[in-house]
Amino acid sequence: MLTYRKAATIALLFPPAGVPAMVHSIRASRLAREGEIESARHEGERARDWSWYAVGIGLSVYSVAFLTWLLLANNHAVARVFFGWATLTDGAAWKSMLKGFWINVQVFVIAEIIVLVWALVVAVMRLLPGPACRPIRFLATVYVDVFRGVPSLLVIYIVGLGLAQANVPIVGDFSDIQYAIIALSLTYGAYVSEVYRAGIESVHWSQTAAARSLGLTYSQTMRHVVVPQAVRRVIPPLLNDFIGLQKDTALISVLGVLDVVNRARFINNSRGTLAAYSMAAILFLLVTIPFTRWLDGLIRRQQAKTLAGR
Amino acid sequence: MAFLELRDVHKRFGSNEVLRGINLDVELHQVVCLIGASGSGKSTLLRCINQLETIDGGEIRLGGDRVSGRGIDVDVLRREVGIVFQSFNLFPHQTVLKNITLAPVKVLGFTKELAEERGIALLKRIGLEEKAKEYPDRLSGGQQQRVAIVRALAMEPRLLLLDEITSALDPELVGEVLNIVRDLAKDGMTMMLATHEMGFAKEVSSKVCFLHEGVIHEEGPPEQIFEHPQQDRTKAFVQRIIEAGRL
Amino acid sequence: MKTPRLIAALIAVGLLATACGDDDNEPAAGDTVAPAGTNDCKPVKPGVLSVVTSLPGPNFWGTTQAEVDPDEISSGIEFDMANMIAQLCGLEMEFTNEGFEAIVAGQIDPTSYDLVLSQVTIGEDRAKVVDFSVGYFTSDQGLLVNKGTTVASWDDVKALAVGVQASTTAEFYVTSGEVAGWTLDNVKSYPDLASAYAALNAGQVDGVLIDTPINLGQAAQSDGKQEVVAQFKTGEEYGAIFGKGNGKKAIYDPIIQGLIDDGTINALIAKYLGGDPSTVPFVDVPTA
Repeated sequence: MLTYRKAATIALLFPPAGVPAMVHSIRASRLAREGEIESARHEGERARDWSWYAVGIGLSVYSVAFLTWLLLANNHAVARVFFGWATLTDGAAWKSMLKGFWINVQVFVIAEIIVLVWALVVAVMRLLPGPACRPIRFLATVYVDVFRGVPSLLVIYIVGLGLAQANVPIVGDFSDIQYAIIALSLTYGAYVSEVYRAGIESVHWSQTAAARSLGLTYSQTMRHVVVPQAVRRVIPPLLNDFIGLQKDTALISVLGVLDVVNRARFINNSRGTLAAYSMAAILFLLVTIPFTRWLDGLIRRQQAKTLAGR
Repeated sequence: MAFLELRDVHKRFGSNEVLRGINLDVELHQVVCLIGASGSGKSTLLRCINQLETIDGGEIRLGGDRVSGRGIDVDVLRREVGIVFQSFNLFPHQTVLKNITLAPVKVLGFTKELAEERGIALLKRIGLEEKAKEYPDRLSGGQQQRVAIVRALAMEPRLLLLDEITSALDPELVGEVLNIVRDLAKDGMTMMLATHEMGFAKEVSSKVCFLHEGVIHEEGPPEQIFEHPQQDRTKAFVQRIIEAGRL
Repeated sequence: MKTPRLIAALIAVGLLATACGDDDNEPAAGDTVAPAGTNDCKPVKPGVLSVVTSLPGPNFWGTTQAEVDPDEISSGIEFDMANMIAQLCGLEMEFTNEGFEAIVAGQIDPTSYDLVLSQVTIGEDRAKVVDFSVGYFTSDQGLLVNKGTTVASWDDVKALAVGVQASTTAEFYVTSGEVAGWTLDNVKSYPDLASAYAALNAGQVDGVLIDTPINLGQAAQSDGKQEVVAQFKTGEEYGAIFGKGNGKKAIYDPIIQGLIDDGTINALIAKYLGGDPSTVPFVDVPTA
């Protein structure tokens, strides 16, 4: 545990708060020596409070200073290149970017819906009991291992370029967007199925015991008792994985689709800048941040509900 | 031929043999209480009867048919045998009424309307019909357990197993649950109870079995077991209970 | 019970919707009112000349300062070429965007396009996986630098940090070690050209090496801050790409040759390039 004096010394790194911290800590020592324990403790607390201010405000101030220096260094290089005002305020550029971003949005919305269902199927496959189902469990495990282990980018390449070339009927004729949806669904289906599986396994065995004791078959038990409870439990952490999916839609650009990334590149080339990448980043944040906040609220409400009945 | 026959039933968990040769007959309309120290195998025995646990030796027969071992349609067995657990195990994501009607609809093939009608009638019998649309977490422990009993009854079992159903309840809620069991006994339901409620056991049971170290050490009418136990171990057990003020 | 069906319906609708919304770019406003074509070009999509390119392609697809939206491209050397070829075939022109490395690796499904016009340099290795048309554009490698950098000899180039775009012949020349005398030690490879140019602006590299006309286009919009200070003879030419062995070469070569012979292509080059490549001094690359 840091003493008041040591904390104040560190706090001096940010003098506006560090100096008061040090002053209080010196007073505290003096009062302690004079036997005024009560006041000494009081001063010590003030020293500690100021030390915390030093950390919080100091870190913020230094971070901003560093970022500003970064932006302005090298003859404003970073500011010019990544935040060129001309491009950032170009309405036509934003219009083109929004057109492209709409494609990314479509991809992740549809992929999310597919993943919600597909991942549950895979999770149930992995949990089917009995020796007769071992091949199914094995298949599901292989699928999960492979698609969690291969980077999304490579999956998109293999699915988007490979499948198209194989000239397989129907599957060989999808559009690039559809390939992207399939690739992302395969990858994130693997992650999310593990979340579902953890959820299913977290439903206490006594629920299964009660359901089976009533005469419900294994599949009826899963369908009406276990899975509904599992899904309710894991929806929040599961939605967390979706934030990754939303960002990974940027990868569909490698298939040549004129999504927000490729349109950004085009703008960058037209304007000799990289500011369009910042614009694309802003668009992604406009989606992921509200989603995250909503998700936090969902988790909070769910926890409140769970604790209410106790 | 008794309604429920257990012959030399063995059950092992790993290297620990919990049931070491149980022999027991239960006639129709009998109420049999299992008493004994924790770990003596009471719950395990009940779970073996409805095949939640498989036995490692011996045989169980219900209504003359073998219901243990291989080749048994477990779901058919479980329609005949109902069980109520210590921790109620109601389905938290469904209303009380849905809890009660789920199995009759899915397993017995009742229509939803018929199952709900019967479910509400059952709830009326225990005085909880206004809770039909509530979720379990809104009910007290005693109310949840009564719903659990009714849920098992909705399947019209011929044998009802009750596994320490009052052990998890606050003392003031125990009474309402035991009242239902008393009524069921009066109506002639064949039941097996594992319980610590000795006073109650004395009151309702036709037969009491004292389990010790995996076998039925002594069995007999309640007066015998509680007032004139024959075996030393039984005597010691009953003595401890009396001292604890539970009899 | 209703929810699973609803989800299934949503998925079906979603997949169908994306099937309808393809990522083709609509044909740009052109004055191509398709007359009865003089050639039967056997397009993969009836009535349409399906062209593939890899954007951005400044001055070849769009004149850079003009558009920020790829859908609004309406000029450029290869854009005009494509429209002319389409007109000669009696077809409309549509183009789609694909990744450059996928194009030169022959990874674009040949049944989905007629030809590729994307400033692709004809090369032996590439010809193993795709067919090339006759060369329609001579291009040597040029070095774009910030004004003030002197390059009088290859040694001067060796002293610089040079940026290249991945999968281009420029990258191949200076990094593969297979071209005598060309290997440079200080090379940075970027996934796209814009990044390389940005690096030049930021001073992270001293020069960008790519086909002279492309660099000239970039110099033209640098407000005099950058120039193509030297070029290096390679004798390379741009060619259109066709799916390997699918017979399109025989159909389109005569058309393209026709555009070369009647001076159309030279006129386009003169129109769109910000400078005449022949004014950039040549520097020898010693093979010893």
